Amino acid sequence: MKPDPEVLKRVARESGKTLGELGVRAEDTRWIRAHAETIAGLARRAWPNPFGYLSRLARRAARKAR
Amino acid sequence: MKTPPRVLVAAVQSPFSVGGAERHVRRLTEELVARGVEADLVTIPLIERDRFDLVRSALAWRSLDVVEIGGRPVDAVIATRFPSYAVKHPNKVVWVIHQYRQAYDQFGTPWSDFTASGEDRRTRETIAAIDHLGLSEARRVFANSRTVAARLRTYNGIASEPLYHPPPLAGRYRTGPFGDYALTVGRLDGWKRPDLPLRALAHASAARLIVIGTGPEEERLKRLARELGVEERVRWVPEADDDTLLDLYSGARLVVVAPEGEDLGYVPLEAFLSGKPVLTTLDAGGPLEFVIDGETGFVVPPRPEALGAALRLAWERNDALEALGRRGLARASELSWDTTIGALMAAAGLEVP
Repeated sequence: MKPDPEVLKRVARESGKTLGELGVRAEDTRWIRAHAETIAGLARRAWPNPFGYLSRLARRAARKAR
Repeated sequence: MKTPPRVLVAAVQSPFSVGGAERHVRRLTEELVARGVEADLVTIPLIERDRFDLVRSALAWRSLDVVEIGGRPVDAVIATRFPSYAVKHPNKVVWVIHQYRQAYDQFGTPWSDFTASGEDRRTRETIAAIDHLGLSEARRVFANSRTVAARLRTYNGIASEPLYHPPPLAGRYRTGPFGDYALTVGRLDGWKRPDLPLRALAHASAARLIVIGTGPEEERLKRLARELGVEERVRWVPEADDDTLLDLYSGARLVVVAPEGEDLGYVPLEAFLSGKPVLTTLDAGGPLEFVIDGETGFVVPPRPEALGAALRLAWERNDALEALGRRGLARASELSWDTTIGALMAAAGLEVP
């Protein structure tokens, strides 16, 4: 069964926002990348190349949360 | 019949290892249950392979929704150790057992591996942000000692109240005659200064020492004992089950507590409940909240000669040891789980059933 892309987008947005709340900044690129890789691991079957997209979503959410 | 309050204890797990903090949260949960509280322990492991793992663990705690479980509300969360207090709950009480000290008071010492690199600086800033977030939103913050409360104020600007509790085997410690050995108990880590009691032996020719514990310093310490010529007077006990530990406490002459800047440390309380005085140092931190020089033990500068002088005195003055041990026993006997649980539940606005 493929994961629902909408659910994964929500995970990226919400967890990105929580990272921002915990003090992570959009410029902490290595950490955002590591986090996006974790979500991308779930998403591999939903998108051919989910990493870049999820990374952008998480970074944007972390920036907004500050 | 009134429904018992539901309380979750939030704690950090170190897989495949059971230390003082793990035993403590289990005991806290059991003591809540024993008083009719519907309590359970929730743990998430903190596995540190890189700096981001600290943030990842805080994220895991922050992402949990524990407001309601199984269709019934959770009345309160008692969070304990970094980063479990990042958990969100409208009725959160924090009892700080461990902060991430390498980012604070241990930074810049050999006991912290944080460097001046950009990533390490950001990690320390993020740890402080996590602490501030998790603690400032709590209904009340307790610390397990005055020493920890002072650190929270200094480094995080957070006010907290010291809340003590009895040591893990409370109810089973027993007094016994003063034997022919000093006892040290604890992990053989550098920051615990396990070399100090060994070096002190070189200045007290009648004293013997039993060392309970294991850790990265073990081989170095054994070498040191040989170099100092005291190895014949040292017995190493890497692992001690509860009964062995109780026996060794009850038969000791006194107990030596050598770490610098300890949070609290159970060892002084365990020694007192076994009727034994404690020898510690002026920079010990938490132990000094209980060990008073000339009242319940000896407090000396952190130098081998000073500890050695105290050991010589302990081997010459049995009568003094008895008086110190009696007062220590009285002090430690004042601590009770009833008081501790009462304070935590009252802070959460809940009644003990």
